[in-house]
Amino acid sequence: MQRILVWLTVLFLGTAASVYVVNTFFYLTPPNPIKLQLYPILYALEHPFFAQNWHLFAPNPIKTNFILAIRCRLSDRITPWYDPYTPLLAAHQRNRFTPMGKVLRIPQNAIFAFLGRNTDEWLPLLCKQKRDLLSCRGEDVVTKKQRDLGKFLLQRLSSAACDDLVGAGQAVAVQVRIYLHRPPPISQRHLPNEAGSTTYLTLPWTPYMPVPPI
Amino acid sequence: MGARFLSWLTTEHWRIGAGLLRVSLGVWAVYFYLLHWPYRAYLWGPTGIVPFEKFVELNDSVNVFAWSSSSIYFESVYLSAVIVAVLVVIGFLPRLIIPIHWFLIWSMQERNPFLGDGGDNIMRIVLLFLVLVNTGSILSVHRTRSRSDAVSLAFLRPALEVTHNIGVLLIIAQLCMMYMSTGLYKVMGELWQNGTALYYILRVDEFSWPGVAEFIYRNTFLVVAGTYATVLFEVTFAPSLLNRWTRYLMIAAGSFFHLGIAAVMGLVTFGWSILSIYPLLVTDMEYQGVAAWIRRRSRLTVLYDADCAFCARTVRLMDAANLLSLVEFVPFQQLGILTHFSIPLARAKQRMQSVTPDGTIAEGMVSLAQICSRSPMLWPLLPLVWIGRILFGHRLYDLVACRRYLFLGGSCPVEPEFAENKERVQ
Repeated sequence: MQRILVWLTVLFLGTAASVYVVNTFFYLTPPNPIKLQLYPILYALEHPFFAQNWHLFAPNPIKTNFILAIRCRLSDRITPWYDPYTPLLAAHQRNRFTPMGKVLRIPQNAIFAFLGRNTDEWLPLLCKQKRDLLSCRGEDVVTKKQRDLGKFLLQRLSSAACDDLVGAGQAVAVQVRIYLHRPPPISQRHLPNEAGSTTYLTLPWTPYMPVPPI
Repeated sequence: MGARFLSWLTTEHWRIGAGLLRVSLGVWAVYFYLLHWPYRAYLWGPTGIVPFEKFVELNDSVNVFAWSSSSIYFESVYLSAVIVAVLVVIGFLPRLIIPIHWFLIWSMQERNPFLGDGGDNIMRIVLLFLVLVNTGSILSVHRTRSRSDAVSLAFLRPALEVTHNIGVLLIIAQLCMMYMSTGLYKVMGELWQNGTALYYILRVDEFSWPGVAEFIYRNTFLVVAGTYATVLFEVTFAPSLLNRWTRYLMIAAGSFFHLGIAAVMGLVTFGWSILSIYPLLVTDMEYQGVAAWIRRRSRLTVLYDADCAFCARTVRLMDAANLLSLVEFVPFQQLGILTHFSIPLARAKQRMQSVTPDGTIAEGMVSLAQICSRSPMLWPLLPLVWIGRILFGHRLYDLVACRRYLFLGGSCPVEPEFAENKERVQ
């Protein structure tokens, strides 16, 4: 009886484990014909509990610094532009054992969401053939939802920063500016970061939202 | 063939690695929860940066934080998560606690999906497989109860052993697939192909370390070598595990790689999560071989006075702290022991004696320091012992030793000339 139980375990768990490994292998490979054919099954077996993404600075790492600046409108004045996250980044760089690593991920991911950053590996391949697709122009429903979520988070982040700057609940509206700074290319590696190029994007004023302080 | 396969499957392998993995991920979680304790309301709270209503709108799976929007409920769950993580570390009922721990970690990660990194991702998958694994063989309070459990689970034991082995193989396979995937994607990237990826990563403030990063990114040799070495390591990781020596090489390279990422790029918890899996890349036999080698080189025989109640009690306490079993306490009254080590009786009566495997004899404060250095629980005492030795030599020790029979009752039979003896063996 015990022997039967062992073989049943081997059979059941061994099969389940093999299915998982084969499925995950194809799920994690770069786009290829098998993955394209089996994608609905591969996706269904991995999500949500085994969802994973190991792009980790691949295929190409980010080459841009995304810096968030905010300003607050009070009943009688508007504050100058203020960068609330660079001091937190400096603290994180001084000491690696602080919570700033996680705190700083929120503005970064909020900016990515707002800018409609799409990690769908199939999209560039699809857009090579069908350039007019809404998703290739970033105008599809999924990207729109993502951008709205990014905007919402930026509104809350800037509200929290205004609380820090002018006092809790003092601001009536908040505004965000996203700076995109590209450091010098490798041919100019001896130049400081400031030597790179910077562009920015200013968002419209949005109402203040109460958020717990950072 | 079938019998050998069955025999291999029904013997638990990687027990030590599984225990170390449990402790490492548990300590990670305790560290993570406590580190973010002051920011918990902001990061995960019901009125935090992702408010409850927004979370419920985005969430599409089971999550402990979706059950109530109350702040008290949130605080209770957070505190429970800390307690559960501590239970994971100490190995209390690991087969029951690990699924709970996984669920809390899962809930936390899903509560605010804007915080996660690759380390969080691998950890939650590994924790899910860890449910299958017996992680309580070492460094576990539950280990002491396993004998009674063994009787009730005797029938199920072979099946549980199969489950354990499959769970471990799944974790190792997951690690290999992670490296394979990221390696293959990097091979496709232009910056990884032309050897400049490391330069651009280190130029991004979020992944930079001022003062150190400049040294690396201004040196083209370091940039190109670091970029290619990363890809080479990731792509060759899985096949390298098939050979013992290349496996050791990969463990060393991977440890250096992830520690480097943690320090230079600031991704500490990411490196910690992945390095936690590395103990599974070493077999139990290899751990036991290393432990036997350390034991052979570090073993210490301590000769103490068993007629002295104070000495016997102190030895009992030190033996309790002797978790690595590197110290063997032997009464010098044991027949032939002093002759075996060529130690005069008078010296053994005067001070505690210790003998290392190469025959070096030490006594008094030095012996005390040797005992403390071999027992991690006594490491906090080590500076005090060394300071005492530097400041007072053996005098402080002799002061107590000559009166040892007075403590816990008795008189002092130690002859005065022994107490005055300033001779040092070492």
